[in-house]
Amino acid sequence: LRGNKTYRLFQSLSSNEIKELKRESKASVTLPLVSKLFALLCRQHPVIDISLEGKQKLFKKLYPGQDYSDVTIRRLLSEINKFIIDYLCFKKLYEDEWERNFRLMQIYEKGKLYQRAHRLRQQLHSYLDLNFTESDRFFKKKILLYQSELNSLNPDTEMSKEILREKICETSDRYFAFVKMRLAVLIKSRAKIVKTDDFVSFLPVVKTAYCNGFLEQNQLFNLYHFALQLTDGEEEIFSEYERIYFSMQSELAQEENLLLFYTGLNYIIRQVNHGNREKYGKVAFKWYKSALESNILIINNGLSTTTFSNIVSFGCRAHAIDWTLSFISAYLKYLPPSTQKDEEKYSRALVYFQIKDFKKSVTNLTDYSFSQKYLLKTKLLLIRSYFEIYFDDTEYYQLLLNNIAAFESFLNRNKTWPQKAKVPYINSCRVMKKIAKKRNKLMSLEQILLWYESEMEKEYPITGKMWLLDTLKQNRVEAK
Amino acid sequence: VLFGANTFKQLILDRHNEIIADALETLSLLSVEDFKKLRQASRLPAFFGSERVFQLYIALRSHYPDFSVSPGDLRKIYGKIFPDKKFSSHRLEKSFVELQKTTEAFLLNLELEKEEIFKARMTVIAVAERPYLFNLFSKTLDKIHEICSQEDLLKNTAHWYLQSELFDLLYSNKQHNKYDINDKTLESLNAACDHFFAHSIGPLILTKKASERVSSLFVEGIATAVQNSELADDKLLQLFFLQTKIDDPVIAEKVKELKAELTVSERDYFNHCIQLR
Repeated sequence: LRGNKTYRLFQSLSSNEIKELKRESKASVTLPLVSKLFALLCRQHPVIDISLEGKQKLFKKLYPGQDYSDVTIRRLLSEINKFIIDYLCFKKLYEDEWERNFRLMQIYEKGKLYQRAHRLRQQLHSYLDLNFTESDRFFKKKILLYQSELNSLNPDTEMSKEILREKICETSDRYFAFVKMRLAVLIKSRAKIVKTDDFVSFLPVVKTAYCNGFLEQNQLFNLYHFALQLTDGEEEIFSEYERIYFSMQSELAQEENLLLFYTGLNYIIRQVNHGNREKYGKVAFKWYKSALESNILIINNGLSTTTFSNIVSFGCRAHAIDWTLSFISAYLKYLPPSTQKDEEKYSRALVYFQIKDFKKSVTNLTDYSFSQKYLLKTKLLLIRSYFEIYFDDTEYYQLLLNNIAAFESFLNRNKTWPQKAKVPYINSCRVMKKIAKKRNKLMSLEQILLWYESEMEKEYPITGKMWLLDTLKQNRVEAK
Repeated sequence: VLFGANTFKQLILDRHNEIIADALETLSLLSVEDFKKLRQASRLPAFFGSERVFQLYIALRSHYPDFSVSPGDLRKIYGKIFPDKKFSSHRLEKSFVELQKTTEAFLLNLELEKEEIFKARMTVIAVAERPYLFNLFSKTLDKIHEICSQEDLLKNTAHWYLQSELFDLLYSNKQHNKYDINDKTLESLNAACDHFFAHSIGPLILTKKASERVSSLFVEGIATAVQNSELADDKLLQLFFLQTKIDDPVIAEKVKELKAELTVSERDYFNHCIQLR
């Protein structure tokens, strides 16, 4: 049923929308049976039953005493789909002030009601000036407005054609410079992660114009310029970037805000991965907290699972345990329903792991059967928890080795993940196993640490590399 | 004193007449068939319809299509809508405002019905934020791309505006879709933006003589790209940029060839741009 269009449409509607649609269907749906079927389905909202059995029941109510016809019911459902889509489409158009008035302006222009079209055009100019920060999206719409005035057959336009042409030129240039910078940041950030080509046409000419003073007074443009430098690895401008970004965060549109936020954040995470964990771990936490406060991470009422995990992880690293636990409770509802339980269990286990309540972490990881997607990280976290417990209680030695062996054989057997993704986990297991064995043979922590540091120098990927180093160092201190 | 009492009264009267004139003007845009359809629409809540709007529609029916309505007619109309109430110009005005709103909503809906690509675009925007409707999102996007790739479609500023908006939308909703937001999407977005810019200044070049220059900072770069690289396959752009050098016989010949290759809609658009000169 998940693949069924009607099923999905009903699932996507809120109860308010259902109410509006019900009211609408009474007045607008001309076929009484479609209206009746719609009312029947509304009663089942949000999860409607359109299995064969469900459809037969609906048919019986619509055509009492007649033999079931799948074609008939499908035809009616298709009418309902069209009705819902038309409603959603029209509603969106009406909510979007720009789209609605721009269309109306075109209608009036076509109908030769030039004064009315002109009034709407002025209204649209004011709407853009009031609601948009100067950016490529703003200038793109302005170009359309100036062009419509230039092409207008209205004999009494306010601005002369020559002035309008100048305005189009000026606005087009601004649009072009902005869009090139935005795309450059987008493409270069992506290239940094997936190692692809980062060519952006016309970027050098835009940069030259900027160096010659073009748009240098525009804060957003300056921010794009800094973002571009950040993606090129220029470290010294980060604090300036951070300052400007936070000073104008509230003025930015969602898309721009997200792009500039992730550009900064990716830089911070690169620094964390390069070993600057103490300083940049806290910075990352601050950035995430601010993004949550300004609500930019909730897109279409959803939060990405990766972002959720990252926030939990940085919250723990910053030792903001209470904050992290309340974050988990408050934001879990924004995750896709299929991952909520997995994510909750894993996040809580991670929090307990960070506060060194390893037994509670183990309980959270073992009393629930995680889905396939979560197996790698949860199994490793379980082993890490046993590893930590083993340092306090050597009786856990065998349990630790058994878990490592089981995970190793799971990794060897499983073909879901590419080998490249599994290697850091395999290495992590191998190192932990060796350390446990050395410890079991009563080798001193000093020697184990020396051995591990020599392994680290070989630079092969190990999941939890730095955690392992910290654990060994801390245990050495405690042993002393 | 800016306004005397009489002037103020006149202003109110003017405003009152303007509101009524606006509503009637909007109604006059409807064809006979569409005006008939408005009857049902005037009761729909989605179109801000109501029983009062419906009654006003009925009262105005006989005045279609020129709607020349005298103050006396307005009193009669009022009597039909509010049979038991004393005449109030404010109440009448309000009804006309509502009718105007309903007619505009109806006109917009007609556009959605008539223009396939507009409807598809609004559908994509409407469903993009609904994770359960990914299939509809991607199918509608495919449909738009199919329509947009038709050879006889006019690819001017409006076309490239739509393209850049769609690729942007696709990028912003990457978390919901199976479309890999790969380099190809970003490449297409980049190309759409280049075309949009070039088409916004292209027609302006036509207005200049060979000795003059368009005051754009980036026109030179675009001109080179139109001749040699990224934008070289866009015939309309080539024509815009070559037009300034039409005195050169070689160029004039090339322009002639290019014009012959244009589709009907492209030729009409090009001629319209020439006329604007």
